[in-house]
Amino acid sequence: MKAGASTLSIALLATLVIGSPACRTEGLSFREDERVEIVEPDDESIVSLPFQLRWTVKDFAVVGADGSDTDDAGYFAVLLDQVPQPPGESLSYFARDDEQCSRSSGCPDEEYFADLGIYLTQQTSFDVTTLSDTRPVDRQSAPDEHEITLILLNGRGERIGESAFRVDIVVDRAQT
Amino acid sequence: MARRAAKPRWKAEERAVAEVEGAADRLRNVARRALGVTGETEAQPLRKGIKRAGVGWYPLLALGALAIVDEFQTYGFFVLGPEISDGLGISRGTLAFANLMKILVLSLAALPIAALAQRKARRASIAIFAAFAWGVVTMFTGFVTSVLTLLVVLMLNGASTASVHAVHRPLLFDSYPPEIRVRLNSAYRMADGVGNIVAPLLVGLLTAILGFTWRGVFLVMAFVSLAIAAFSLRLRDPGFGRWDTGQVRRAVRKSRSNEPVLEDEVSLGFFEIVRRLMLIPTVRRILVANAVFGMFLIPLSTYMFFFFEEEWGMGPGARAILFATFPLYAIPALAFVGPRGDAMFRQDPPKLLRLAALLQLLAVLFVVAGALSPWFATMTIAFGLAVASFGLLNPILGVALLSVVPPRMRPHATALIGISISAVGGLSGIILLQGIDSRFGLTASILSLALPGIVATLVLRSSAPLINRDLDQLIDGIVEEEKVNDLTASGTKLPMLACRNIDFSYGQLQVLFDVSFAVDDGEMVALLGTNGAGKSTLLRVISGLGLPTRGSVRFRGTDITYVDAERRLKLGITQVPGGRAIFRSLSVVENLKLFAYTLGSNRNAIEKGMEETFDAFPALAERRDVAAGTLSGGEQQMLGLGKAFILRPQLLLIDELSLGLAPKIVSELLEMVRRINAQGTAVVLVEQSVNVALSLVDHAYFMEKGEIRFDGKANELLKRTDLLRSVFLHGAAKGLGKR
Repeated sequence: MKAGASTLSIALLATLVIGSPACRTEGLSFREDERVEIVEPDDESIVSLPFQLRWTVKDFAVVGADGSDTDDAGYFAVLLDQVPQPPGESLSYFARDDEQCSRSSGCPDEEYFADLGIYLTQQTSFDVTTLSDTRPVDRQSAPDEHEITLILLNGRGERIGESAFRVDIVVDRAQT
Repeated sequence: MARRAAKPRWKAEERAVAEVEGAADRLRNVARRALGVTGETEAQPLRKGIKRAGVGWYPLLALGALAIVDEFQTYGFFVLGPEISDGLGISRGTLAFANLMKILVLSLAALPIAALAQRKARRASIAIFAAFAWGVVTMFTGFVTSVLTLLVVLMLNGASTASVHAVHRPLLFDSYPPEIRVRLNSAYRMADGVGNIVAPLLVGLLTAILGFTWRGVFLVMAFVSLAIAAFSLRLRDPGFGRWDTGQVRRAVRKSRSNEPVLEDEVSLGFFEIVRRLMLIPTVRRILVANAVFGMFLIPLSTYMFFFFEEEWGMGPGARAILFATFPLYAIPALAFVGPRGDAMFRQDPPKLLRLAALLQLLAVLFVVAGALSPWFATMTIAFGLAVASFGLLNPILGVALLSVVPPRMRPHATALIGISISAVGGLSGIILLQGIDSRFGLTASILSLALPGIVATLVLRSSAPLINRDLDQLIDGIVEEEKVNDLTASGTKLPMLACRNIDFSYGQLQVLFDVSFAVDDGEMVALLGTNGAGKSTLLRVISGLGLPTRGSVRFRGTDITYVDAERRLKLGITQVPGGRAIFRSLSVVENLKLFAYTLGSNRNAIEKGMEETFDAFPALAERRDVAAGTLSGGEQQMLGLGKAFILRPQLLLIDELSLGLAPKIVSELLEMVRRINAQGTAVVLVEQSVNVALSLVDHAYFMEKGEIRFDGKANELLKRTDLLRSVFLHGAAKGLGKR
C-alpha cells in the first residue's frame, strides 16, 4: 500500500502544480441555466424558411440596454450559426480583428452584427428568414444543418455567464 | 617480430558454445510449453488459470475499470464539444485543433512512456499514476476558461491515455499465465465496450436528468475516475515475463533454482529496443499490416458519421444511440472467441494469426455489406458485426504480437502498434483518399477503403508462418542467456566474442546464413572468402553497423546483438572499414582526434595514442597537417590503423587491409597489425588474399555464399583446395612458406 500511496501523492501533487494556475472557479456554471427554454422549433427538427424561433424566460427581467450590469436583467442576442463571445465580453468582441470597422465611427452596429448572423432583441421570439446553405456544393444530398444560439446580455451588452441556449435544426431546402 | 606460438584453440570454450546450442534444442519443447504452446486442442478452464496466477481477478478488474474511465473524458469531449465551444466562446475549429493535439500527444507519448518501464518493472505504478493524473486532468477540464488551458488539459489527457496504450496490456500479460491470455485480453477489451455504453449513459443522466453543464459533467466524471483510480491502488507489477519467459528461465536453471526467475536486466536503450522489435519478423509484419489497415480504419471512422447522416438522415442523437449499440455486438463476440483463441494458441500459434486475418477480412466485408445495404436494419447489423470483428482483432493480435516480444519490450511493441495504425496508416489513408468522397460519393469512398483493408488482410495472413520461428528465437535467446550465466557461474571460460547462428539480410536479400564465429582474448583470426561471401557484412554485425535478423552476438558473455555501434566502441570493439577508413577532407591530426571522440576529454590518452601512431608510422607524422585525402593508399590505411593506437580496443576488426597496395606497404602494415595484436588486442582480419592473411594467423574461417565453410587451423585451410581453388590464385602456399 505504501508504494500506491506515494504514487498517489506524487500524481496529485504534479497535476495540481501543473493545472492550478490554469483554472479558476469564479463565475463558472456547473448546473444548467434554466431561465430560458427554447420552445420552437424542436431540437434536431427539420424546418423550412422562414420560421419563428420562440422561447420562454423566467427569473430574468427584459430591460434592454439600460447600462446595468446585473446577471438577472438585460436582453437577448440570437446567433445564427455563430459561436457566442466569451463570458463577460460585449458583442463588439466579434469586431475585434476588423480594422476597417474600428476606423469607422459607430461600428460595430446592428447592421454589422446582422451580417454576421447576430441579432439583438427584447422579445421572446425571432423570425428567421434567411440562413446560408451549409451543404457542400458537390454534396447536395447532405443535410443543411444549422445551429441557433440564444445568449443573455446584461444592460451593458455584455454576455451574462456561460449560459447558451441552442437548437440544432435542418433546413429543408426543397420546401424553402 | 616473433609470431605468437601456436596453441590449441580454447577447447573448453568451444565446448561451452556447443553446450549453449545443445541446450536450446534440448529445451525447446519445455520452453514452448512454458510460453503456452502445448499442442493441446482444448483451452484450459479460465478459473484454473486465474487460480494459478495467484492474484485472482483483481488485476483484470482494476485495469478493466481504468479502461472504462479512460473513455469518459474522451466521450465527454466528443458529445459535449458544442456546449464547451458555446460556453467558452471558442470556435469549433479551435476545439477540433485542440482535440487533434490531444490525439497527436496520445500517439507520440506512448513510446516515451514505454521507455519509462523498460529498465524497471514499474508498469503498475505508471498505470496508477496515469489513472490519478487523468482523474485530476478531467477535474481541471471542468474549470478551464480559455483555449490555452483547454489545450493543456487535453494534451495532459492524451499523455495519460497514452500510458493505457503502453502499459495496460503488457501488465495484464505478465499478471496471468499464457493459457488464458486471449480470454483475459478479450475481457479487457470488453471493458472498452462497457465504457462506450456507460459513458453516454452517464453523460445523458448528468445533463438531461440532473441538469449539469459540461463543467459539472467533467467534475462528476473526475470523481468517478478518481474513485476507480483509488480502486487500482493495489495493482502491483508482477515483474517482466513472470508467466512465460520467467518459466523458460526456470526450466533452464537447474543449479540456480533458488534465484529469482524474472527476466534479467536488459542493457538495451530505447532506440535499440525499437530497432530490435523491428527485426522480429512477426512484429514487423503485424506493424505493416496494421499501418495498411489504419488506412482503412481511420478514414472509415470519419466517413461513417457522414454516411449515417447523409445516406440515412441520422442526426447526432440517433448516431450516438447507434454507436452505443455497437458494443452489444462486440461483447458477446469477445466472450465467444476468447476461449477458442486460447485453444488455437495452445495448439498452434499460427492458427491465431490466421484467425486474426479472417476476422480482418470479415470486418472489411461487413463494412462493404453495410455500405451497400438498402435496408436500415441490415445496414446497422452489418456495421455492428464489423465493429465486433474489429473488437476481436485487438486481443487476438495483441496476444500473438506480445508472445514473440521479450517482456521488457512489450510496452514499446504496444506503443508501436498504436502509432502504426493511427499515425502511419491513418494519416496516409486520409491523405491518399482525400477527395474520393467529393468525386464519387460517400458509399464509393467507403467501398474504396476496402482495398487497403484487403491488402492488410493478406499482409497479416502472411505473418502466420513467421510466429513459430520467432517464438523459437525468443526461447533461444533466453536459453542462451541462462546457459551463459550458468557457465560463467561455474567458472567456464567463454570466448571473448561469440557469434551464434547469425542470419543477416539487406532488405529482402539474405547474405548471411546461420553463421557462427568466435574469437578469444588476444587471438588473431583470419576471415577469408570470395568477393561477396559476406565477410564485411559479418564484421558489420560484430561492430553493430548491421543488425542480424537471427542469432546472437556476445562479447565477454554479454549479449550485444542489438547494442548500438557507438556503445560497442566503448565496450572495446573497433572496426577499420575497408576502402580507406578515413575522412578525406580532414587533416591527419583531425582524423586521429575524431577517432578519439569516444574518449571524451581524456587529453592524455588522445595525445599518447597520437604519438604512438606517429611512432609506428613516421610517414604520417611528416604529413600530419595535410588533408587525409591527399595521402597515398598505404598511408591512408596506416591512418585507419591509427584507430587501434588511439582507442586501444580489445577487439580490432580490419577489413581488406591489403587491397590495392604494394607488397612493401602491405608488409609494413602487417607488421603493425602484429604489434597491435602482441599488445593484447584480439584481431579479426578480413582478407581476400590468402597469403597475406595466413602469414599472420593460426586460425582461419572461410566463407562462401554467406556461410562458414571452414573453421580451423590456417594450415589445414591450405589443404582445402576445393575451397581455395576457385577463389584464390597462386601464392597461398607461398604465404604459408613465409610463416
